[in-house]
Amino acid sequence: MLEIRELNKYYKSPLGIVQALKNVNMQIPRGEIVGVFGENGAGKSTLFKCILNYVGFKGEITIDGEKITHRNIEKISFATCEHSFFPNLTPESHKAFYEMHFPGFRKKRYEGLMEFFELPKYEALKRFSTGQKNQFEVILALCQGADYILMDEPFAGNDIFNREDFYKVLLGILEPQETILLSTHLMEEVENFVGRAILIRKGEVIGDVSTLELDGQGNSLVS
Amino acid sequence: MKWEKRNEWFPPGYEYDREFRMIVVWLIASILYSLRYLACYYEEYHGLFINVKVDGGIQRVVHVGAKIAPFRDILGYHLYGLVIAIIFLLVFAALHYCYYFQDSRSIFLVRRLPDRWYVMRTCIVAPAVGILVTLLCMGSLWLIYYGVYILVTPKECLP
Repeated sequence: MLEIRELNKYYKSPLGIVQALKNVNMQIPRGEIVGVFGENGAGKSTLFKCILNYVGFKGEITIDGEKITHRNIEKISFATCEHSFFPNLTPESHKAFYEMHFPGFRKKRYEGLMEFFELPKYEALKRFSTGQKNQFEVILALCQGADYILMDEPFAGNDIFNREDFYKVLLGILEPQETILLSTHLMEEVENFVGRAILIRKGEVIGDVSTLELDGQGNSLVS
Repeated sequence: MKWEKRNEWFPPGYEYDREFRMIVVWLIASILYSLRYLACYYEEYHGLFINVKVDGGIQRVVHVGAKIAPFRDILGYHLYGLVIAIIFLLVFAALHYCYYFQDSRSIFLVRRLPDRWYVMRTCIVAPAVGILVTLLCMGSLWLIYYGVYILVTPKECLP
């Protein structure tokens, strides 16, 4: 379970101190696929960066009851539209790097996804198209062997066919303990994919609903 | 394909060969430049003597009251090439860190590794070893040059 309690994040800006996240509380059990929605600047990326300890924050974030440190950080993987791979390396070198650093690396899944998306294995990533880079970024996040997979606008710049392919693949390969937190503004696209939706506006969680509940009420995520 | 151990000392994909070659060439050039100290010393040493006629021949003898310039003055800038090498190596450490922000944010990946020292190791260790080697070279050259100054200069001419 990923638990966030009383999370507050402040930034210094030339205009003064800005509060990027306000009293965020949430519990994400294992196995859920959660959509985190909000307009640009709402605080989605900041939330992810707090979970990963990339930025300082006030409050408490735990994973399976423990604070997130280097001892349990491998339980979390991260795919971002900014990309976190090494652009000068090839996918094969990344595989070797991940195998060395992440004992739970899912080699079989990696090979399968590389084949499915027909990505070149021996070409430096800097020569990939934006769509291919996004695909590879998500492949790495899915294959690290993490139980909590954070995806921050992972498909920015991809065409709709690419994105739809990915949603289908994701649903097909995920194991019951794997949890996905997907931030996007493409609500319509992911409404059939996520099981729960969290809406953030100006740093505050203003909605947290399960899509099953919405279905029961005859509502959709978009409406 | 296996991830080679030597790749663990530099940011992945970083062109360390070029950096290594550059620093080795600079160190060699700096050591060669420092040899000019010997020429400067010889000039100073030569100035301590005068030629006198003895029994029809010419003999070089120490000029009475002649003093050689202080070691620091003769050494001058001759080891500064190595100081510049140290500055280069500090810049390399900064470049290694900046590499993690270049064309992607691979810093997000390396900060997520279970190996908590990874970033520090890949940024600092190789330049630190370079700095150590440079300091050793600097110390050795200083000792050799000082040894020459102390041992070769006539005692009465030392300041």
